[in-house]
Amino acid sequence: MRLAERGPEWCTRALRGEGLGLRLGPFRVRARSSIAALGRDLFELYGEHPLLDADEVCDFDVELEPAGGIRRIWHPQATFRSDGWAPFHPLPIDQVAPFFEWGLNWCIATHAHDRLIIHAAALAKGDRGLVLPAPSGAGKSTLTAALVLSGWRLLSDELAMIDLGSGELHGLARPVNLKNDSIDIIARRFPQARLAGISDGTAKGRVGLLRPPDESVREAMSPARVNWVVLPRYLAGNPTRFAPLSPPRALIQLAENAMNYSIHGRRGFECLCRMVDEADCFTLLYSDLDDAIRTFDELAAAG
Amino acid sequence: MKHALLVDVLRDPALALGFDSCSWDTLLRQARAATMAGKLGLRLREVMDPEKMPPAVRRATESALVIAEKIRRDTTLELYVLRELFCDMPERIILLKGTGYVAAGLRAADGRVFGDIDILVPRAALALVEDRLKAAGWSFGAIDAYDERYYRRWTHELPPLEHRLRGTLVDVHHAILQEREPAPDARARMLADARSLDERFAVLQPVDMVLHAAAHLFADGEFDKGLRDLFDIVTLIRDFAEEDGAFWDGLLERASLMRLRQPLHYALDHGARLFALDVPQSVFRALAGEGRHDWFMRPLLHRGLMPHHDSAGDLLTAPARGFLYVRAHYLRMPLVNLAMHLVRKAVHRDAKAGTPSLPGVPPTPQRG
Repeated sequence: MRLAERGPEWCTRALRGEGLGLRLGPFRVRARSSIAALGRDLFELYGEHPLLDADEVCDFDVELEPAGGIRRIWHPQATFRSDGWAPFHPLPIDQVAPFFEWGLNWCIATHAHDRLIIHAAALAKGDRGLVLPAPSGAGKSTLTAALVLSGWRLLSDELAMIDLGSGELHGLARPVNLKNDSIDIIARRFPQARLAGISDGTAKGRVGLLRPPDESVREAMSPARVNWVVLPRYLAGNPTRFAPLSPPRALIQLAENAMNYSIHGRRGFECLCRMVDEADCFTLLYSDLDDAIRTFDELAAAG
Repeated sequence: MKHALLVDVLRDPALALGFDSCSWDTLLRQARAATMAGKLGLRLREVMDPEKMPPAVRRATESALVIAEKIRRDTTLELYVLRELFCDMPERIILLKGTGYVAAGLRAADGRVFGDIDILVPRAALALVEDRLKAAGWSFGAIDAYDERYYRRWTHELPPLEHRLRGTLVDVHHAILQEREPAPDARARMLADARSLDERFAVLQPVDMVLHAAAHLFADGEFDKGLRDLFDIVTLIRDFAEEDGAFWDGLLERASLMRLRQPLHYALDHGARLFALDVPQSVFRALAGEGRHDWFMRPLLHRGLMPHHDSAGDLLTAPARGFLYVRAHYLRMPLVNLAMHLVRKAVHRDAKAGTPSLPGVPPTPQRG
């Protein structure tokens, strides 16, 4: 059963009670919270995701609750806890939806070392995967949002997960995290975009979450082969430049953006070697979003 | 007193064969809270094929074992670096805790997840060691003057030194344990009696390794890795006692000499209760006097040792941990300084506001 079939009140009740269990790609996640706004945002963002049965063993168990202490009177905050750990300082309570996303990223980055995790967006056309490794600020999320709203399948906007054995790319189809100007850019360019959890004044400025397309969520369990590795960089006013990248250079870029590459040692290196061998690697310099989308569509059409 | 599922399964992994998914879920939560997912994974593998575990448990334990392997690799590499760095130092460097277990190839190192390289050097060599580490890229990181003074005055180690590029942490100890009362000179013999691994590094001899681990566990106020440390002690004792028939006698004698009979009693008492450690009755009898506070301390320590997760606690868990925290500081510093220190910590905790770090840089986890 999908979350959308239940309704927002049910979602809030589940968060308050035994927990809201969601299937996110390979992971099972249970969230608890008495913060009503989180229920509404999660219902809006995760509507298409499958619900867990009551008795499933969860990979991650997370809790977002109002912080105690005297500050709650004039400055209410939320805390994030998972399995007895509180990795973050509390954040203002109106940032609870992005806080949930950051917290979940932390859970995955800290605990999912049965696979290689790259700080990269992962998309696909059918089973042909596209990996966009880039540090924060390179325009990766904006590009990802634009591509998934133009027919690409969303696997993940921040954490590309590669199976070390098969080299396959696995998806989570979680919301895309948009920052500052890109929220309005996406909202204007794609009227069908569904945004929620918009919060001002976070550590990353204004943030908003884009609901993943329903088809991407339904296909979240289908892995993709890495067909293309593209290093994107937004540079205002620049014409689009799309150029091939040698596999060794691509490997270095991937390794620099990999979150647990060093943890895997030799296996991680071999996994990346295979990836850049099998994929076509490019760099992309862009400022015009439509032009960038066209570039990727041409890439997909060329095979 | 609540008993944790994790403890039961670490003692007897076959119990998990009959688990329903609810029990599996609780087990996983507790294992993560106790930083013991790797140890749990190794115990479970003794009785079942990983394919038979629920996928979340299989992934979590495999993931923890991958990290444990990475830590073993990193530790070995850092020891190469330290060996070069101190190649002309006359004194040996003693490797403590997890670092020592890895270097000595002990079973306690298997599946163990730890963050620091712990080394013990004679106080006379402290300044040299600190200077060389700093010259080689280690530094104290973001620590204020108060914390640095606190470390130097009231603990037995320097503030953790972090490597600028590799991020590895080195804890430099200059005493076995810091206490209010002057430690018996006999403890210096731990250094002299340490067993050389090579011309540079040594580890404490078996009896001292157990006493050191016990002294630390029961003098430390945090207890957040208490269960893991107790499990290590149990593993060490089992292996040492099997190798050496005279181990128990030596342990008792050494504990008296070092004035560490009380932590030893706690370690054996809780090790036997939680993990069915086989302690000869004669040993318990010899330590009988140390159990005089057990009516009070046993429930407290039990609560401290349980995984720090709601499913393993009760109403008295929070006060018990608070008491243990204050007790640990009391063992270390006079009451006046203690009061001032705790007030300062309480005020500062509230004043520190933070920002979430990027997903690429997991922040230092704190207890919630």
